Amino acid sequence: MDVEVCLYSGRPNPVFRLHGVEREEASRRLGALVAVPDRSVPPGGLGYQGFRLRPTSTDGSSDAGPSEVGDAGDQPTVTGSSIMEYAIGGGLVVARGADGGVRVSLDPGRALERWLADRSTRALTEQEIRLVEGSLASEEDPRSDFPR
Amino acid sequence: MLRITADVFSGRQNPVWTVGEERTARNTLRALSEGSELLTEDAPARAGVGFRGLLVESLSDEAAPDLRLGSTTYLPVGREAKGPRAAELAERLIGLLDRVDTSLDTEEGVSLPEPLRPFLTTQLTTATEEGSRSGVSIQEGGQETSESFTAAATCYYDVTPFNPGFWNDDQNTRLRNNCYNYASNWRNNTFAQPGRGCGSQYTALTCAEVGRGALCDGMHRRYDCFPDSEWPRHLVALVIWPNTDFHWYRLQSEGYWAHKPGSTAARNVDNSNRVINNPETCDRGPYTQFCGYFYGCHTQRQRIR
Repeated sequence: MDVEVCLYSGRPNPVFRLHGVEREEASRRLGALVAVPDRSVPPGGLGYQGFRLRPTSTDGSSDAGPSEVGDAGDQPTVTGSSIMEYAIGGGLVVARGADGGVRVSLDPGRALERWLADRSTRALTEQEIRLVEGSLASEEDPRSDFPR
Repeated sequence: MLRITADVFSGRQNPVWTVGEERTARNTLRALSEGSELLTEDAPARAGVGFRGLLVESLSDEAAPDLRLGSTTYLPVGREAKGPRAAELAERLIGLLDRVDTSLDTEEGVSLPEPLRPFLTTQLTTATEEGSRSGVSIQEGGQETSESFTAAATCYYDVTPFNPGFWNDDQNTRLRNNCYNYASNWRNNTFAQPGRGCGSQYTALTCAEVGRGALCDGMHRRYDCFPDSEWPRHLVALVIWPNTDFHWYRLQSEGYWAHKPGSTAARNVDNSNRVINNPETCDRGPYTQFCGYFYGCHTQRQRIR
């Protein structure tokens, strides 16, 4: 399971991989998310935006990831095998399906983002760690009230 | 009577035909009048080679007294066309060649391509295709600008419509092309770095170094003109997150600027979700240093890696 730290525009972003217990924990956390129907996807922008997690590794090997994103009422369930990536940041998790479909879930207290930030330090420079920590410290859930 | 000149050749005499029948002449002038936004008083100064347009001269002042057209008017086609209907009007003018009351005016000893109508139709199609390919060319320089100097040269750059789907619809495309790919309008999946294509990538994340890398790839600083042969010459802007990263914007034909922050989606809004009318003043997050404007070009974009 590859995780990209979304920091840069021109330079390649730092990337790290979750193995074993960490991968299982990430799958568990993703599987526990509850989707929010009709939620707009924030456009993002320049600077630190969060993390991008791909259940399928960039080398092409299959990694099932979570079995599903939690259901939201009568919303259709997005199964893990169809999810190409999760964008995690600012209190939201956006799951993008292979068919272009999008499901948005809340990440209360940015718990999943903080969990990934703790694991990302092994791939980051001191300056990058400060940038990520600074963003997580300054805003609680900056996108969770993004207009529906 | 109307005299129509196909402005198509450079060295030899242009084809000229005269429409003798008054009703046909009047209907033609009316069609031109209804498309007056497509007309100019004279041939554009910078029309280049190929089919440039059609000059229409009214040979009598009673031909269309109620139509607000001068005695001569010009219909630019191809890259200088004022709208998509220009080709349609041009086809109508060329079609008059087939009328029995139309006579071809040729100087003695001068031969024109035979048959003339299909020749001109083909030339028109070619010019129209090139015009749509090139988007819009914009002239700048020789006038006051937001820059702190007046350019000595008059430069042209090219703008194309904002087309985010080209960059965003496919995940691999989105992930493997960054702001420099977008600014260069070259989707080669290399996450391109200024200078890497020319073998001399930037060595520091400063305006001077990243700008040097882009110039090495073949960009020019603004007002250092590229010739037409370097189409498309995009106007782009470089900004820097001091000692951390670089970012580029590209001007679109809609008048706003667009960009692609790294592996995320191409967009025309800034960090405050506002349409970018000015890359110098838009919300750029930590990219606080504005380095200046550059022109991309065909050679440069093929070189980026």
